[in-house]
Amino acid sequence: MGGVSRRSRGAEFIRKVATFSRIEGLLKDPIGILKNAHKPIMGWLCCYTPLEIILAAGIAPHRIIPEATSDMADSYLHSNFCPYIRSSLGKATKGDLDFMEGLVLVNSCDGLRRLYDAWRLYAKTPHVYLVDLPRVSTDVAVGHFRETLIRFKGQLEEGFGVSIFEGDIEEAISLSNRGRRLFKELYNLRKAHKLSISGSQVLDLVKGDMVLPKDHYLGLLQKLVGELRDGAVPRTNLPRVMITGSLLEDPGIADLVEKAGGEVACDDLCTGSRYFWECIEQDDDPILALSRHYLSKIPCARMMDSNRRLDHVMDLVVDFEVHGVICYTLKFCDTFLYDIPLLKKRLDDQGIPSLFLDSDYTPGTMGRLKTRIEAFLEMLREHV
Amino acid sequence: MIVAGIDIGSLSSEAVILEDGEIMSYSIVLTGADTQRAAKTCMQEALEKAHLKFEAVSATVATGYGRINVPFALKTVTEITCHARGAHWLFPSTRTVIDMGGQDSKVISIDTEGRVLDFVMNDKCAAGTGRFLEVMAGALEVDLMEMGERSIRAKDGIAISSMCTVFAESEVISLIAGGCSKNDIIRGLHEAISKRIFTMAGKLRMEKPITMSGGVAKNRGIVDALRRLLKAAIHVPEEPQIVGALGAALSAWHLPSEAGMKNRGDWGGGSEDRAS
Repeated sequence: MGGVSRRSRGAEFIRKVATFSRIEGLLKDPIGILKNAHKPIMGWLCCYTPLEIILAAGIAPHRIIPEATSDMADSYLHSNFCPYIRSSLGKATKGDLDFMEGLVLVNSCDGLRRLYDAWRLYAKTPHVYLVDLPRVSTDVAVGHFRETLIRFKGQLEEGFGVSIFEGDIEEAISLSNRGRRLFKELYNLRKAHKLSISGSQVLDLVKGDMVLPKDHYLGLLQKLVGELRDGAVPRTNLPRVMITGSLLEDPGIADLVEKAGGEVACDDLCTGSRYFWECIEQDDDPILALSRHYLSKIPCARMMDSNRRLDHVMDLVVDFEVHGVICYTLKFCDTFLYDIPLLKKRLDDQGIPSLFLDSDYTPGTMGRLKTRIEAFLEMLREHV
Repeated sequence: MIVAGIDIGSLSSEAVILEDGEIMSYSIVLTGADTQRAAKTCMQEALEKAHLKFEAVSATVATGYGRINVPFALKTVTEITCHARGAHWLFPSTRTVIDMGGQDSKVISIDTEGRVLDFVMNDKCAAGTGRFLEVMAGALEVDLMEMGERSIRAKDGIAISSMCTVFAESEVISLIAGGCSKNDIIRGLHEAISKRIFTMAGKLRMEKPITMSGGVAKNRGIVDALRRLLKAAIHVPEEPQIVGALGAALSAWHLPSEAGMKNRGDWGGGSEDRAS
């Protein structure tokens, strides 16, 4: 089989790095660790959540991880919502998310709006907020979103009995930028084929920042990136695959790609590079800086400007010397599904093979995906 | 050199034995609930037909959805790659392969060397598969193998609106109750299945010539309906069910010989005697 033995040498190297083992240990029980930080915990789902305002309020943001659960909240939401939304509500109604004092949703898609409605009715989370996000990044939109963020700040201050000062937000932006820079460096090391770590492990590191107490985690991450900088491992000649799409569930198809003998070279995912790709440019008005940042970052398919994202994907293909692209969406993620023919055409025109996959988190899905991924890698190996 | 390919499908399993690039023998058995037994039985049958012992086979490659359950295979290759290789070997000019098997269907576009360029696959629902036809044959009380001929004899196709096996079955029952001729209903079913494959193929840059593989390719009615929709000739191998196993055997053929190419000794006791 084209399996385990093909796995990149980098993946083996990193296992011996103590800092990495420590992070892996923390990821086994992120909620326990968060609780120990003795801060109120605020759940979030969408990459457009203004995390810096939450951090500035002294609240610990924690992303609800996309994963299959036994309860997909079928009694509350119709099954034509994406599995991320249904599994999140499933966890909440089952009581798995009772540690959260709040939840911030962004109306980035119809599914999240309906989740907001259902959550307030059926889940026990005390504070549930909905942040209204424009679909364009014009000056008017930036001004409007700034107002929205100011209102959201007010809601947090009232709900949690805190005062958030400009300095707090600036500090949160610096902290957030520190993470963004570290992750960018990790990706740049991969670009230069210098990284002693596999793609799925990098995605795990990104996940760490989303679910663990940020300041503590970034300390570990900084140490790890330092250790990796020196641990160059010769590049492999495995086919280099990029994954683009909405979000990967845990453990996800990155792992399948690696087991089938591929290297996940980079990604354009909500649980990957879209979370951190650009730093937030500081401004005298920190909320304006946030508004500008979130509206002009590498967009998710829900924004109006599809071409900007597609250009970015094509740039990544070149920069990371990608042999093939896997376009991955969750079932019923209409915004991404809509973009796929456009993306496929662009890739076809450049002679880059692509594979479309979707998942609905049902048991057995992984077997279906495995055959397709193995066939895709067999195909890439014949052409590389 | 003698090599073998095994294709463990959801409904049937096939084995092909090749010697120096020529097919020596093949076998087709039902997979049933025990994949490993199916693998062994079909290999056994193919060996018997070729008057060979298992030891004479230098390498076996397994494919199909049960490919990891073939203990005596040296390597697994996905059915997508195997159908491409098999179809290319049979009809070297093939640029598109349409495989309609027991429980999945796929369209594969390949280059002049038989390498996969792109593919689409349906394996989540029974629509457009052999299983669908089996259920419909049951509802109509006709023999599955007769369906092709009957649809060719039909005067008119009846539009079948649902492609879901469950709903299409009840639609067929209503049509029978309404007094429609069986032949016309069968033709309608074939046209509906073909449309589904046609839509799937539309996701690829489909080039001609086209080769069909899988058990459903034995149904002339479907091949005809597809031919009309695609406005192209379709090659159908003499035995379309073995294309995947043939591709697996070809993969075994191309395994680098220096890679310690010896079959694993997991064949199991006693069976060698029966193989001779």
